[in-house]
Amino acid sequence: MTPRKVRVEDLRKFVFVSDPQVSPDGSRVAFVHTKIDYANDGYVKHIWMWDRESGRASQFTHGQGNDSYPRWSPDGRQILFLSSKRQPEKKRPQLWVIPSDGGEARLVAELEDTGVAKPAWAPDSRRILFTARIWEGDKPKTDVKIVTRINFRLNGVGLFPGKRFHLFKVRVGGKPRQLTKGEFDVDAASWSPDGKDIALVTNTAEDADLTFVRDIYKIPAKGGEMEMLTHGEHLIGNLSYSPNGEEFAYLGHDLHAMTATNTEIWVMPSGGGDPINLTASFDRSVGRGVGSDVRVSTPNPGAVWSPEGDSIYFLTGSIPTSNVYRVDRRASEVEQLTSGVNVEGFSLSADASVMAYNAMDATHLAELWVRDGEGERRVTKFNDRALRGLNLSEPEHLTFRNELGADIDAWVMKPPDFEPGRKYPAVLEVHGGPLSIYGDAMYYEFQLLTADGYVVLYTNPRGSGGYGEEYGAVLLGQFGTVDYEDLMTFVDEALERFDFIDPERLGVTGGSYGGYMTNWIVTQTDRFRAAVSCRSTCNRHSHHGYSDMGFRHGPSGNMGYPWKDEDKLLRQSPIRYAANTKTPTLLIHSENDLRCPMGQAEEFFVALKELGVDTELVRFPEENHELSRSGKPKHREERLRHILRWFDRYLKQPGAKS
Amino acid sequence: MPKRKIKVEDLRRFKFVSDPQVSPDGEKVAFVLSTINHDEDAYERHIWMADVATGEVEQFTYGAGGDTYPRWSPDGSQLMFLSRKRDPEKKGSQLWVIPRSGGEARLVVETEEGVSKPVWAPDSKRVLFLSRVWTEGRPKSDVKVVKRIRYKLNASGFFQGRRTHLFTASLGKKPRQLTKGELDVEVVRWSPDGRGIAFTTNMEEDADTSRVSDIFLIPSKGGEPRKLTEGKHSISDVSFSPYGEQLAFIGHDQPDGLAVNQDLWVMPSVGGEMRNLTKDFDRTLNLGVGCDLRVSTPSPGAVWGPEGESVYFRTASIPHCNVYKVAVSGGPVEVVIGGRVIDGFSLSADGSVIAFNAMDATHPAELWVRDTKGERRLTGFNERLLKGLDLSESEHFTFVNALGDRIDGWIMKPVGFEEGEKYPTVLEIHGGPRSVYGDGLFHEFQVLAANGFAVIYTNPRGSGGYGEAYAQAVMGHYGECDYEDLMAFMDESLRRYPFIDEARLGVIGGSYGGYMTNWMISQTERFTAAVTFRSICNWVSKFGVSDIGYMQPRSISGRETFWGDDIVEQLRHSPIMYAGNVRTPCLIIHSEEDYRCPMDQGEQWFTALQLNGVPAELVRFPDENHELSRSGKPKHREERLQHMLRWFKEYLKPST
Repeated sequence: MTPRKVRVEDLRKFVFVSDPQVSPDGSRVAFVHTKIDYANDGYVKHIWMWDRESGRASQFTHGQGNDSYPRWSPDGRQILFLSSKRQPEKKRPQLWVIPSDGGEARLVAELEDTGVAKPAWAPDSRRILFTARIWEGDKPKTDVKIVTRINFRLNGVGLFPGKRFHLFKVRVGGKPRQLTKGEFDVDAASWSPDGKDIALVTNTAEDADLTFVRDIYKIPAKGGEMEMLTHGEHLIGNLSYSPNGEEFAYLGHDLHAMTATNTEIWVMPSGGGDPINLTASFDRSVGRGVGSDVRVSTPNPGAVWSPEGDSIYFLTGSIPTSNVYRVDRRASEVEQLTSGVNVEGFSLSADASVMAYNAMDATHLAELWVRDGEGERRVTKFNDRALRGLNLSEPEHLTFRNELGADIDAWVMKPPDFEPGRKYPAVLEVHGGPLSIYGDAMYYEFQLLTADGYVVLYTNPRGSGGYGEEYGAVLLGQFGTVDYEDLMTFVDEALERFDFIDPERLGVTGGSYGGYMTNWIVTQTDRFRAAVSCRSTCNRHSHHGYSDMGFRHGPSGNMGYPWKDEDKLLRQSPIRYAANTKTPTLLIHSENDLRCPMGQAEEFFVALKELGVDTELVRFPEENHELSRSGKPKHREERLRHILRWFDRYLKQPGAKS
Repeated sequence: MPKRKIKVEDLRRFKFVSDPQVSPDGEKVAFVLSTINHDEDAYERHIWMADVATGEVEQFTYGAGGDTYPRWSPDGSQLMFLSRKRDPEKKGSQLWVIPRSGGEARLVVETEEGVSKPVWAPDSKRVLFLSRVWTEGRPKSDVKVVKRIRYKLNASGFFQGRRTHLFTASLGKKPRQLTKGELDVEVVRWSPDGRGIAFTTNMEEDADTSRVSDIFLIPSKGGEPRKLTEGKHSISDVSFSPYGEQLAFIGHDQPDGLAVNQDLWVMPSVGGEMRNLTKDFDRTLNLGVGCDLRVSTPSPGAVWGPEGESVYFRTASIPHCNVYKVAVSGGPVEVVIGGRVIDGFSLSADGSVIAFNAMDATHPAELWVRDTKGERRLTGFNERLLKGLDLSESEHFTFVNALGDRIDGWIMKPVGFEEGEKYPTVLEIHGGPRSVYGDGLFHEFQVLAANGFAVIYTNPRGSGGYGEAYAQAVMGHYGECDYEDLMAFMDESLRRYPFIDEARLGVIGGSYGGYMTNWMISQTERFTAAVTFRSICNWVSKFGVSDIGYMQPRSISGRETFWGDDIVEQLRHSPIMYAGNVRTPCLIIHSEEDYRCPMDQGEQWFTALQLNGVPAELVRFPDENHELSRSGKPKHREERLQHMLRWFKEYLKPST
């Protein structure tokens, strides 16, 4: 059978492998297997198990639930996982435990209307700690929301006035007990190896909402007073005890380059003391992944100690892939352990002899990989059959030189049935962030565009992550400047190099910051004949006040404040330059997007309509900022069809200038 | 029994009379009575009937409630009404008819999207009405593909592919759609001979961004609509003279103007010269007086007298809202019924009986009639409740602003007022800006007065109910002369009333009044507490996000657009730009589904105040829109008032 071109509906045929967790003895790997249930417009997620001896993967949890986050007990006898809908009335994830050798799963902790997050086994394999967002005080009797904190909403979560994340522990078979209380949120927590203490990350100060700074505290596992171990210097993410309990490793930074600051691996004495930066000489931000729109995301493994405590494993992107690295605890030398594939998550057996990870590339979805004494290999092939039947486009890598003389990574994808001598319309794709990055990960959207007869172009302009800190930081406070220059230089270069691109039929699209950039581009140049702007922003001035992150953009993104820096904000706002726009622009937006709220697209739509520019606004109800990556399956397909429809309308007639 | 102070919870005890419709023979008046079912958190509405001669009043429709819009058939034998809950299966309002002599109501018209504005044919057998139609079929997806700039409306939601079209139907038969295409029909009237139908719409390409509407005539059997006007008017109501030779309409001939008076015009019903009959009457027509304790009555519009010699209408002339008439041959406008706040009225066939619903500052609307025996109130639904309540009577006074305008103001003393005491005082600011205060009843004001606050309010430049120039003064100057007048009023109140405690002043308002509240606290520190409701703080984002935002740029600053250099000028009128000056603790109350002053306005203001260290809270009402204070769910309305009281009590500390 000859492979055919990919179609929008192929999305529902894929299987997504995420969150690989190798057993302590290294004999098995639990992972999450996700597929699309198109008829019910949902995802079905189960825990699957790969067995090293047989080499086979089989389904481990069943039923109608959405099971995720498998974690082995340290003795290897049980697996905890989160599950929603296992009991149909329970929509939020609750904590379940299942014996690793078979038997039924049991509900271990449930917190009605809040759910359980980030569970972790105690060293004794009996207790589990977790966090949950609970009502601080009694649950209100009304549906009216009284907001007293500036931080009251989060994309994908919704509004949480009156709720705080607190730390709980539960003994399997017992009742959950709340260990922290008060007006603060517990972010991450870790058991000490002796099981007596729990270290946690929070900020208890009154102005905690206004800063990213966090501190590490220690609390007796039996409950008691919180002891502060750090002094308000770092943003702190993941946290883990060294095997002998003498040190912590954490991911964090001191915000010296604001949000563009590289995340580093730090270690510090677990009794308190000065942290040491182990990755200072490694100019990459730890934990940064490479973009893809066909994956189920895997939680960041964070800082993973080697059994002897002499090194720490971590994951990050260095273009074109994200890889597993190991840094030496003493010498601070960083060694790259994987390469050639884009790693999403990994875990180690107790003796570190077996590593499991899930990885993809630009034409293959993530599958499970194992690295052990027998070498490194892919061990699942859920998508092989679907992919074998498809004629996908392979991106070709190139570099171009920008005005500063830097060589910038870029890619071009040709239509799969490319014929030399023909001219093709081309679409420039702009990633989000701006600190996100393109690399060797698969984009379904790009594949569909090539299948529909487009050349797809993409690059990592200044402002992208995945390179050095300076490369990302340069863009702060000046959106629409050097990023725009790099993108235009890239388009010039691509037209120069690839004579199969029709310069009269260029399109541009992007989401989030990429949607902002799309809006920006149509206000700055008429070279594009069509634009599709997804989850975009157009007014940085109003965005400040109603995006979940908006209020942080002043101090953390060098954006300023609406009441004193309006010129700076407006200079970076497409709405100010809307009158220049000629390019037909489709705006695609989710109504529950709290990151780049719906109003941003409404503002640009109304301006373009008033100005007589061809435009439509496509609104997705009950979707948020993650529509393209984890929205309802039918909506994801509809979104892609709208993109194709718009480009087809304006780019399919050769040479006809509108 | 001694009188007690009014409470927030008294809201649920009030009864609301609306939409009085006198029968053609003048013997009966049908009206809508709305009550609050607190347990169900809902309003119950039924048609009631009053006998003009005996004054007897009785309930006429029963059942689940949701009955509105009673209209007599021309022969007086039947009453039609809209009902939304009679059949729980059916969504939207559907049309029912009930015999006058009693018997069961029957469903006579039903459409997918519901029926609105039904009108009887002269033969009492047919009806015409409006209904929304999916012009390109109902979409299979819940995704909304928006192609028009006008795509949503507060309280109605998203139009998507739906347009409002004109239908006729014989009772119980399948309706027939007379208009088609990408247009919205607004007002419909049957010609007296039953052969033609007049309606208003705008069929031009730029209809969404234009205030123009035209009058069209279409044969009642269907056919091509014929345009009678020339795209030069903004028209909000039209009606045929009794013999059909003339049309009266309410509107104006400056569709590009701002805050232009609505006048009463007549023209031949075949088209031709238009005459403005109210040119010398410097009031805008169809303006009501503000109140937060009423169920709104559809505007009666232009109502012809029996022989077609004069036309009746209703509008505000502060402090009242009167019924007026003007002779078609010309001459002065005469007050027919005055001295009260009239919400709606109707005439018997011979014009001898007028039914109306009217209120004053301490009494919600009841049903009144005027006939040869004089003017009298027929209902007393709220009498018992009011007898037990110690309400605050407002005192009227005037002050002179910087331009020498004499401006109306009112003060309400706290209930239990004692000479020599100092009282915290709340300045209330109305919306619009073309709304207007008068003798309308405000539960909110009474609750404040009952809790130890004095309440003051005025109609600053920009308000309706005075002359056109007065309303136009604020156009292009938001936050300028309106602010001056409010501050001058504050000064004058302090001068006149030594019991006002200058150190305990509060300010509150909704919509444009919420904008002004935000504006006030960004310009002065004289207020100790503020409650801003469905407010605006950033005009630029509102232009894009609000249902009517794109029509507003010129009103705010005089600039035509909200991009380029104009963006800076528009921001100059936006409180967000002065957020750094605010010191006044501010409670922000907003409805999550407010499409007029969208939720993000409250969020932006909250974020700005929080970052500036100003005590601020944001109270968000789900499933409510811009109308929360007037027609929101009963429990939410009470909660809103409780939050307001909580805030003012905390910061203004009234003695209890």
